[in-house]
Amino acid sequence: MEDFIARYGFLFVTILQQALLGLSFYLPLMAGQLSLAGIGFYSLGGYVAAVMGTHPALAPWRDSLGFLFFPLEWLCALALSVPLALALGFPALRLRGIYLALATIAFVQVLGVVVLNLPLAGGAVGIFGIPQAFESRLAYVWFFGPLLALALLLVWRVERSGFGRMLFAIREDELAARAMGVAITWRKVQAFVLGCALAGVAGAMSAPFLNTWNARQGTFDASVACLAYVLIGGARSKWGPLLGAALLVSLPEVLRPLKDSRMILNGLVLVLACVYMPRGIAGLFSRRKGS
Amino acid sequence: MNAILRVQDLSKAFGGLMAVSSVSFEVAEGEIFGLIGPNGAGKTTLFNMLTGLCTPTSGSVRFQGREITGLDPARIARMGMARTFQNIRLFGGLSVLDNVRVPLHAMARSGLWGALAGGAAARDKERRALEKARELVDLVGLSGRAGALAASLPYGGRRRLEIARALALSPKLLLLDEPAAGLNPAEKVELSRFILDIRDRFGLTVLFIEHNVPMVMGLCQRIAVLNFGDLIAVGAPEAVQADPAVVEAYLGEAHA
Amino acid sequence: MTLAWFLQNLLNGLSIGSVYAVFALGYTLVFSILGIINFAHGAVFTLGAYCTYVLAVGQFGLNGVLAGVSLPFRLPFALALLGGAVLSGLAGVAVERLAFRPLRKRGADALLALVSSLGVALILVNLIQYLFGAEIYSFPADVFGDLPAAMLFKVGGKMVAVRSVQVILFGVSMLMLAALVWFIQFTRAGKALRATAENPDTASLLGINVNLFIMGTFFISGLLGGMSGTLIGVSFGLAGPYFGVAYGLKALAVIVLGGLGSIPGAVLGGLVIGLAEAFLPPELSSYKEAVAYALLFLVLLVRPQGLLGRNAEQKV
Repeated sequence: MEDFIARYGFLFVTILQQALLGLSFYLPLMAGQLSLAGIGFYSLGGYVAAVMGTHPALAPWRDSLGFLFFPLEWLCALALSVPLALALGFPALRLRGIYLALATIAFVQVLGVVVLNLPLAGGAVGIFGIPQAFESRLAYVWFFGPLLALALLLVWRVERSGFGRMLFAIREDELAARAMGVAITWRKVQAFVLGCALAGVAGAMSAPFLNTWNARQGTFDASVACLAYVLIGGARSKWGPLLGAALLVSLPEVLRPLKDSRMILNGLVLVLACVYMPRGIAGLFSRRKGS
Repeated sequence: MNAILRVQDLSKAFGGLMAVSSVSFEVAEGEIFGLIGPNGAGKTTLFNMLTGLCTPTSGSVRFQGREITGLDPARIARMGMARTFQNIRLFGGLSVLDNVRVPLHAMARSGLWGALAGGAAARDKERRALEKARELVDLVGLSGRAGALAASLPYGGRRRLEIARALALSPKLLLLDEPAAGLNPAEKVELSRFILDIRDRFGLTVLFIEHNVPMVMGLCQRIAVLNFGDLIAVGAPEAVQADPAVVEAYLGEAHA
Repeated sequence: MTLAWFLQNLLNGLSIGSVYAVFALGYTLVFSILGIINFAHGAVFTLGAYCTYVLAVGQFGLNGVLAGVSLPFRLPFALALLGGAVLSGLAGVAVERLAFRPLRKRGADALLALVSSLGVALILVNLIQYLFGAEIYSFPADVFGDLPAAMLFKVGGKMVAVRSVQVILFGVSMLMLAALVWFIQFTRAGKALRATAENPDTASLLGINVNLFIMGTFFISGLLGGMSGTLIGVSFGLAGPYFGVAYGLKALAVIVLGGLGSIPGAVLGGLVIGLAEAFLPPELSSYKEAVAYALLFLVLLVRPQGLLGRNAEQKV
């Protein structure tokens, strides 16, 4: 049992944590907007927590606040993410389809370069030795688990609300939604900002868990991985990111005995899932339903 | 007349092609006004300019005395001008009821905070929207299928749903783009009756594009005829019917 | 700000820009015929570089499954380049069969094609790693035979260096461009390709085998990708199987800047980005990688259809 937890505890927490990040991709997708910007905010949020957690100037604060310092990190990540997401969202979300996706890819790349050049962020090496919030890996399950549940609850509330229905309407037929009085750009921006904010906070929560933080957290590859969770899990379901993360995070581990071939198999799974499960895993379980 | 809609010299050019050429007319409050003309005459383009989906090349549109030329379509919709589409654009993946709720949410400015924090005010908005939506769904005879996916409705049902959805905007002016297309004669009669009914019930003005000449003749107080982007006649149905230009361009063939 | 400075940067910019252009054209061809971005293009780019290396040097590296394997021959660079390019073209066709055709048959969402191509890219890159190993491959200095490494010119008292590799980059790129333009504008096959790109349904009614032309497009796209990968690899070395990813993304900036689906646009975009990177002031040199994306963002804000793209109105 000890062994199992030791080996798979980390994996399990990673699934929960990645699902949380995946939800940040799901939110703009509710309005039919494909954005890969979330990963940039995740990276940023992580850096905020990393810097706050290790910078000598903040040591007195860390000592006096104790555990409460961590929620402060999350709040700071949120405070940084929301204005940035608004500034990015308004111009970007006037773009359609692939153009929006490319704009968000560009944002992530530029952010990556800027961060690499910021001495505060530790350059290419990044920041390490970030203080842990909890003692053991297992303890994080009790952290990320409820957190994910809370995030899912919030998304569920959004889905059932008038705001959520407007997002779905935009996804179904943007032109008709506009003709029916929906302020489409503003609604898209709201969904986008919500997603980026979630990503930023997820990043701030993940940095202590991972102990180190560097630019690898915010690369194109990472955003592709996240996108894959959402699509394979089911782009039309809030359970999609969790289902997708469960499959795609555990797959390389399960295939570990295959050593070098496992990434090849990972890629193969992606292709096969696209061809044979276009609605994702969640799509296998439900008929298309209204809200 | 008390003109709810005033169109002046409205034009739309696509490259070298004048889809709509200097069209001017007025629609009186409470009127049922028909817009007819052969295919490609520019009727839908005109509708698109009225509702803001398409920016005119020149000219102006005044709705309830206010200049609305080139405004955002969502704003125009919330100001009280609602429309249906020639090719029916429903939110297929949403239920019948939800389709009608969307414009209500747009009008009520249902926000993100309401969704997340959910105070009494937000719940109230939701409840009222739901009630109004149920009423409208009932009005068009779809209450038995309120939970069904819009995409699953038969053709006639989809047309009716689109009208119910448009009515959710509490419009003063309702624009219908070929509402009778694809309906059988019995359904057409039903539609005519329905249009009269909602006009009286909600105090609407109705402007509709239609090919079916008898329907237009019977229902409309006045009609306008477009041909190749030009407005060639406007007036009472009998007068327009007799207009030689109209006879030559359009009605003559249908009439014969 | 001397003439020499200007000429040096112009040279650097044009030579790298022309490679960006050729690489970006691979995206453009696929986009114009299928309307989607092939995210496996960067992987094919990488494959081309590795294949050419092996053909030219006759030996695999020290890691990977084929460690230490020698080929019984070594090809002169030009032939190795061609060989690598052809192999990449075939890889391009494989990408189409694996990632795109099954989805086309099922009428799937464009988004899925995107992810599917990313999956194939993953397979391809890891296959490369499996076969070739993860270490850095550097083309030997004498790969071009007896050509000098660089020629120096004195301009207005300062030196301007023209590296042989730069001349080759520019020369080969221009040649490929000319060949592509000739093919598309002046051959029957090229005309059929344009017809298929414009309207596949009509094209098939006219007896054009659409699937064959799609495969052909992917072959040419892969060829261009593999060739540009080799050219970059010769200039900067092959820094591992993932070295194509960054270029793959940069080429996206090229096509958006030039206008999605526009061939002259891809050329213009490539040259503009190449020149922008070359003329970047030395103080900002660590931001070089951000230049292309910053330009991409700017274009999307100001003129989303790109420099040479056409504005498409939406039909109601």
